[in-house]
Amino acid sequence: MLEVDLDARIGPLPLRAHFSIASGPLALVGPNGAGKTSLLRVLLGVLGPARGRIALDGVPLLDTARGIELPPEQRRLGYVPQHYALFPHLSVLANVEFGMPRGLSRPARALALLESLEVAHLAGRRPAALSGGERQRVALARALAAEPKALLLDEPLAALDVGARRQVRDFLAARLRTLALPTLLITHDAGDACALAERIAVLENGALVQLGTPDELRAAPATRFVADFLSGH
Amino acid sequence: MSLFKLGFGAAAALLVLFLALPVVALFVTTSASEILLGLRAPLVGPALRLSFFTTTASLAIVVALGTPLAWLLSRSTSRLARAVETAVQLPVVIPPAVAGLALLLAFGRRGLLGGLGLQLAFTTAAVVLAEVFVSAPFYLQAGTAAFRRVDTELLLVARTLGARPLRSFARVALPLALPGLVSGAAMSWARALGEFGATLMFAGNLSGRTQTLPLAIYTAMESDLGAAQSLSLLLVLAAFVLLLIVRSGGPALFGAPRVPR
Repeated sequence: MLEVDLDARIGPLPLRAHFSIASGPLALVGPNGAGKTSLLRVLLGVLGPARGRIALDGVPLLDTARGIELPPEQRRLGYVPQHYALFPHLSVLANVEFGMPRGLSRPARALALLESLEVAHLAGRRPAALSGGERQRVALARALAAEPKALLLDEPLAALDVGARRQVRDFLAARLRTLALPTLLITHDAGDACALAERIAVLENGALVQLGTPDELRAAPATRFVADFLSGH
Repeated sequence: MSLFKLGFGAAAALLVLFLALPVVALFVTTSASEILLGLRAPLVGPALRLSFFTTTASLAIVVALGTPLAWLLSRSTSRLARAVETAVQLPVVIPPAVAGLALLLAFGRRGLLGGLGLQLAFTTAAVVLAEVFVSAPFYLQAGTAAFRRVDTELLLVARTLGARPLRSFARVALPLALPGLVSGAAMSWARALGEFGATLMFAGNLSGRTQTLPLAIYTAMESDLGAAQSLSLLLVLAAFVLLLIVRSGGPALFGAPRVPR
């Protein structure tokens, strides 16, 4: 369970959001500059808001009232960045091993994780030699290797070309459902949001304006943006 | 042939000739036996040992202190960081004689720190300080640029995977910046090896204590041109090897990964 309760200001932008994710993916959408990336950075612990509370399975990651602000390495959040940011100097296997505790079984466990994402045959390659879809799977495996309690995915499909996109999306959607981890995924694409997530949260001007299933949002869009965003999907 | 090609070709050829001629002269006006004889002159051994010792020490200091500074400069966007970045490049443009005087005024007997009983002038330590002063900017510039090319997102991912800042630096930033750091260190070492003016003013020219290779060449000029020339050839060869390393993207020679971008 990821609980977020923010009422803060990041530079000139206000950031007000109150939501929780029990399990499964929640899509975070909104126009450019709405504060999606700022919210992500607050969750990761790169930006520290003046006021707010974030808790993961009851453990506070941020609680400004009690002076708690955990650094990124203690938050147990699995992060898959927009362009996957695989470590270019490490093999696929070493990328996955990075977040695992040291031990004799580490290579075997990393390989099993790659196997579960159907990319074990790439273990010895360098990231530069992978396709977009392969990179995404490796990035997901790397994030899962650290046994996170929630996942954050930033535009997981934006780096892919149109041809590969559909197949990668289906694979990712099935995988996120199976994992059943609280997952926040940022996207600007309504089709991706509907395919990957059960619920959609809409951020506008730094404030959460609506949260619900795609059907609920379509039936009663709170703002013009929500109506336009979902039209045709 | 057009006038353009002719003009540019002539200018280019003239400069290449001018740059090459002195180096060629160093080699063709001597012979192997003369070189060997020159290298047996009494001031050669101590100068060689001293240069090796002092440049190793100054490189170690530059790398140990310069790596953290280059990292901080590469990550900070503050005005102070920009000011520091410019300030630490000053030794490159300061004339060596001025640098020597400045070092004397800071660390000399009657200098800023002289009152504290710190007397470094005209010692081997002064040689090392002069070398650090003139060579650090080369490492800092290359290091800052190399660290700046490391994607911040990679470091953030490393943190989310449980790595504390020091580990994410050591496992991600350092290996990715290594090629740049190595060529920076090579340039820095070459500058320290050739250091002359500041050393002469701040450390003097005492055989075995402060007389490095360039000072030995200067000293030998008065009595033993053969020794001076032999030492010069030695320095030219060292510089040439270094240049090859740096230009060939040489870090590959050190096993650093080549990172496609």
